[in-house]
Amino acid sequence: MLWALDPDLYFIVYVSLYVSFWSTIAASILGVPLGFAIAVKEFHGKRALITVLNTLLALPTVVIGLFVYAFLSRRAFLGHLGLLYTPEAIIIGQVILILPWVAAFTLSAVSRIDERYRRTAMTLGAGPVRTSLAVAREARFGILAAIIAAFGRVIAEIGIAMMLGGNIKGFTRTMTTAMALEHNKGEFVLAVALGVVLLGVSLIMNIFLQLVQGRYGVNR
Amino acid sequence: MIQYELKGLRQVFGRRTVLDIDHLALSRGSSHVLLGPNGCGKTTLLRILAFLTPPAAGEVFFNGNKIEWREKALLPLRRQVVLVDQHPIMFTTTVLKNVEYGPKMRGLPTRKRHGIAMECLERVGMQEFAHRPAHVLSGGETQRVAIARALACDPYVMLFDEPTASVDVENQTVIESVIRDIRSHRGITVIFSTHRHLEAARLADNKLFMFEGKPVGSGGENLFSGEIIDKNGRTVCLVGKNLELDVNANPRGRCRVFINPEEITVYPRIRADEPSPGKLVSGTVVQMTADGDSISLLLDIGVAVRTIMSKAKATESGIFVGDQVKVGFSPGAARIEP
Repeated sequence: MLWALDPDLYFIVYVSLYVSFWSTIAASILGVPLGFAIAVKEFHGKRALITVLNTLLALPTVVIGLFVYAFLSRRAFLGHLGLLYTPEAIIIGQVILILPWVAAFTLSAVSRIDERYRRTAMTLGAGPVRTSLAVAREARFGILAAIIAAFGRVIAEIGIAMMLGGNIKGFTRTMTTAMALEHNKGEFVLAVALGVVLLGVSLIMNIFLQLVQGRYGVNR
Repeated sequence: MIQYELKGLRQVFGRRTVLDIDHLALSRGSSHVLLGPNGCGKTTLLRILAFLTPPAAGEVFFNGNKIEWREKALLPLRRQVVLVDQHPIMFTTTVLKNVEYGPKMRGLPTRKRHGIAMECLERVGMQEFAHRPAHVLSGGETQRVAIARALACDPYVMLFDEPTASVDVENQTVIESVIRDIRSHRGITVIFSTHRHLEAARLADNKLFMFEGKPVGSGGENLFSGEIIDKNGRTVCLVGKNLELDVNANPRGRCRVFINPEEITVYPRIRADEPSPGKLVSGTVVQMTADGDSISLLLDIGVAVRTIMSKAKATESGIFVGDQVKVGFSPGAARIEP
């Protein structure tokens, strides 16, 4: 089926990659600076915030699905935007899902960075932004791993895609929702083919991470 | 001209006061050394002088201008002063890019900063390492690259936190020669901390001894923490585990005691049974150095005590480094410091 270039299959893969890519980008834009700021700043309630962030790592996808549905459904606060059962709705839900992941793992990566990097950048004449960039550069592998882990989380999730996307063929059907549907129909061939693609995407992402770490790990 | 002036400076970590300086002035273009035991506040003071950490209280003047501890005001000052850490850390890139970092922060074009970086690497003898990864260097090489990286910033003041503490003799010689060169040819104010008295003597114009966060003047090297107790009808100051020094002091309890190096007498072991004033303690000569017309001896008597004797007396006594000796203290040798 994979080799026959079945257009239905490839469109499903496309939708999955599309929503996962944009939700990961959006979550990274918000989550990396958030995690970084929590790691380097000292403020009241920092420990409480980290506890909340860690708790949100276990947020069930169906809870997010229900929560976002409550805002996007036709009669709801944001219903007039007509986002429900669109790829954008899936993206919104997935951003909420992985934002704590990106932030928490960025926080963890930056916290492990030696304090001397910050002090060295400062004494060599870097301002606050350049100092932060120097620290972020040292934490780059950890941050990249956080982003890839988040991508892996969203591409494999089903609750949000089903509840907010509606599993509409040729529009919001993702690999996971299609697999669930095909399984219910007893069409195991497509389900298995999608499973293979899903694992393949994860494999490619991890190979990419290893290559980047290897390349810069040797030459850094 | 005064480079730094500190007034009523205090630094507090938690509830512990780690730095307490009433007044201190450091002249421009000179070389100053901070001497003192671990935890006496040397690193804390250097970080304040580098404008990296603000003091808990007090005022710092730089070139006569009072420092405002606001990020915006500090950045231009930090670009005039560089601190080289005791254990410097390299950014995970090449040696050259590490050295180029300072000029890059100052907005210099690529070609110019490349030239500056290569020149500074040459000064520390590390030009051949320019394109190697910085994180694979040895401790001494890292220290040399860190000095080149600081030099590339073209500062007015260079601060070194124990620059030779963890390097081998070869690197130590190179680092000392670079520091000497910075001081004599570039007119840069050099302030460094060290445990090594010889290094201090070789490199510094001015010595500042520190003890428990306070500058203690020139007698600082024989300053100890002790406890005043009553023993057999005498008032003694107990230093370390065994050293008991007669003192005249009223309050009992913890204190700081200064032992005058000139009031310490060293007896070769062979003559230890001969009558001598006061009680004698056993010790070992661990260092002998020429100090003008005198010989300075560092003795291990449970604590490291320094004493001075004339060259003639040293020759007559036949004392050598490593000898077991007896050490006597004149009455009044120990003085309780406020």
